[in-house]
Amino acid sequence: MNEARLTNLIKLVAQNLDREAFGELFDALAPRVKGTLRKRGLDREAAEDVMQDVLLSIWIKAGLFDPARGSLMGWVYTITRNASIDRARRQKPSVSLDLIEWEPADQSESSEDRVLRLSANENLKSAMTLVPADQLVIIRMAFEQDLSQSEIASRLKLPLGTVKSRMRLAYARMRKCIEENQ
Amino acid sequence: MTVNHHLDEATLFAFGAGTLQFSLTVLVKAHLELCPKCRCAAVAASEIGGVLLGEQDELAVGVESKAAVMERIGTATLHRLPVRTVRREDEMPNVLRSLLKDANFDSLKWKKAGPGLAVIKLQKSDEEPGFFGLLRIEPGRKMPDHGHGGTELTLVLQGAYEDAMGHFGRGDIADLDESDIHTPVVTGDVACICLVANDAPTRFQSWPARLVQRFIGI
Ligand SMILES: [Zn+2]
Repeated sequence: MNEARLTNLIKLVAQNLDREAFGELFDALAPRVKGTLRKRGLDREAAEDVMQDVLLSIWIKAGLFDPARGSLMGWVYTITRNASIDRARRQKPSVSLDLIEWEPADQSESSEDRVLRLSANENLKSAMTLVPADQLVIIRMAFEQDLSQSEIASRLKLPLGTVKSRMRLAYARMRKCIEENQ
Repeated sequence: MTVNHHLDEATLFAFGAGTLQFSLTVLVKAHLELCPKCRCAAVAASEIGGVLLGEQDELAVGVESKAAVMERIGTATLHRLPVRTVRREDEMPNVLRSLLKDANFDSLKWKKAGPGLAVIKLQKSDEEPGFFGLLRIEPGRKMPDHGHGGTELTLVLQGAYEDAMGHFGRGDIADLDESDIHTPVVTGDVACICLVANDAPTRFQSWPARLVQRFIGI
């Protein structure tokens, strides 16, 4: 399903508490959210549980989603990531990491600090295909397999500094692509 | 407040992927509350995750699972207002306030850890390594030279310090690598309060931990 359709559905959920629209969102997102959680190392049962929590969060927070700030998939990814971190922590300090980093920009911010505006992440998808293989492998290890910088360094037998500099390069490329798309 | 020192892009990348340990994640979140520029950059990191989410294998989700969620949404309380970012100059970031259960630096139980130095250790998650806590350093005080084992984040919440990398005031974050050595000196006439976290393995005791150890024997 494309980003525009998904964005429209979330709008219906936010404005009208539209259960039917939410049902459609559920069908589009739940299987991928579950797939993401499994890849991050959650077992079948935990992935199912956390997936339900993520989808519930999407309903609860629909009114906070702002398409001018970023794509729906990026937002859903953030919620999924936070939920999987909360789940993974056995000994939980009493704070939720789910404080939103998607807050609208302050009016007083200067123009270069203004929010990224992107209508869809189509450009980013194509940018991802242009990322050199040595950076792409690091993107996948971090974002999909939930490996830390030092875990990646030891798996690839690379110095930590090299892993960090490849992350910077990959990140800069993505960032540039998003900004050009504004 | 103008923030001049920001997060390293490799740290934002790891934060975006959700792979930073808890204490470092709190530091990043606290900086994001004070820094619109990095908030914006954090969204860019999430977009990478969004693309990968879109490409993800779809795993079968049962009808009973959907029914369970549809039932839960009937009674869920909706969030309509975003978490407010920190606006007032002396305000504590929300993420820190919820950890401390207090909004005022003065009423915290500071532990003296040496001349001109007081510390509050914060609860870490699981067995994660390193130091996590608040430091309060009196004006004119200098911290000893130190290197550390891994990543170290230092966020200034009150006052200011200077080191070889420049002047660090409220909202500024020092994102240091294992190879960096710095000697911060507190400037101005108020105590400098910093939130510090690092992932130094215990065999390389981190400098705040060593100081605390030396003075109060933790
Ligand atoms: Zn910043």
